[in-house]
Amino acid sequence: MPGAFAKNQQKLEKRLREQELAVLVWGSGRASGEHYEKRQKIRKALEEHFSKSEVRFSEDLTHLVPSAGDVGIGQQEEYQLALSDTCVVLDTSAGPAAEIAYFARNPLKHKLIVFTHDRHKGSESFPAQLREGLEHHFYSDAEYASCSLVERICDRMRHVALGKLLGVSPV
Amino acid sequence: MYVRNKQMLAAESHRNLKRVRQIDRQGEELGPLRRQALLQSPTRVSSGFVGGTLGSLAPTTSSSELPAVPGSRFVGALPRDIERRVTHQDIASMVGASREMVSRIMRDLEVGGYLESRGDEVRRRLPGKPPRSPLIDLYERRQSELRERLRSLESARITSAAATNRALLGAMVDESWLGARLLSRLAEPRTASDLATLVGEGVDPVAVALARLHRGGAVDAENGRFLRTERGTEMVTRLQRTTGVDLAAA
Repeated sequence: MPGAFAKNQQKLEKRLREQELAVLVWGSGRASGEHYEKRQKIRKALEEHFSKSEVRFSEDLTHLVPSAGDVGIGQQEEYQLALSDTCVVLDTSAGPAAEIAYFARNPLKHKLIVFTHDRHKGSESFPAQLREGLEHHFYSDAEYASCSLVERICDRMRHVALGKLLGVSPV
Repeated sequence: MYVRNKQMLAAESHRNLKRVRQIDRQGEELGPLRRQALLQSPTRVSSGFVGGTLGSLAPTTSSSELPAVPGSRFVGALPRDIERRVTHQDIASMVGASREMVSRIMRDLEVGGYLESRGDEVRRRLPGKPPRSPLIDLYERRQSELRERLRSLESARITSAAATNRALLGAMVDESWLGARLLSRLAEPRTASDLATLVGEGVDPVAVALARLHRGGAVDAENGRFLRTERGTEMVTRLQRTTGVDLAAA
């Protein structure tokens, strides 16, 4: 019964899209140009796909952190990470690399979904070792330039949404 | 109690001096051992002093023989150049306690680092705070290491649980909810090919999904047959309950 099959799948997908997700997107700042644009595209795509989600950049959330002026950026980001369901990290410059290093041994590190250029794949360098315990994906230049990276992130976010729907944690 | 200053000789009473000289004379006659015995005898050789053949050390007065400071329970002001050890008995007399009690308290204070005893000398440490023991440093260092290790273990446990959950959720939702559909049909043991037929998919994607479900703890395999675990059953139940979708029909 293909009709009933498709209908059921649509129903499941709809439930996923309606999940209230709090997503952080870390990556290069405004000055970096294309990488910042990519962050914005990811935010837009996620907010479109998951209609009740809230996708934010860390730099826009300082007002959410109590006594933000009294604590360092690391603690502010830890607070934001604790509040979020997941955090997409575009490993495109020194800023996000430092964030990854900072949270590499943090119990919240499971929330990080790191995307790194595939030229670093198989590397045994210190930065690569720091990323070993993290959920780490690689992308090619072609994927980065096209929309497929954004689609991969949306697909991954469906897992997070299902986890939230079923009460499965941590994801 | 000992006196080290020969100058005090002049200040001693004539009677005592005579006694000291008498001992010295007797000592010369009786030999050094006897002289030592006389010096240590309980006879009140008050304010024994150095001089002549007696050498530089001799018994001194007991505290009761020292002049008392008016209005004070402390035994009197000794000349500046006399170093006098205050015994536990002296302290006990001063404060009106037993010597045993004073000894016990002094020992406790020493153990606690409030007092420092070097030979005959007792010094008070100020402020009255015990010195930082190297053991405390060691203990704190180990505690910190342990805390770090526990944090690391906790982090590793969460990361591992997250990886298991991700495998399960990914398997359930990917490939058009293939994992969820498989789970709904695994109430009884089935082979991969049976399952492929049931869900209308190829054996390869079904095998991949089963492997992911197994990694996620939702499926067990035995003798080439697959059966959902308690966790798998729980996932199917929750999904059907929250979405209202009959997965067997999906």
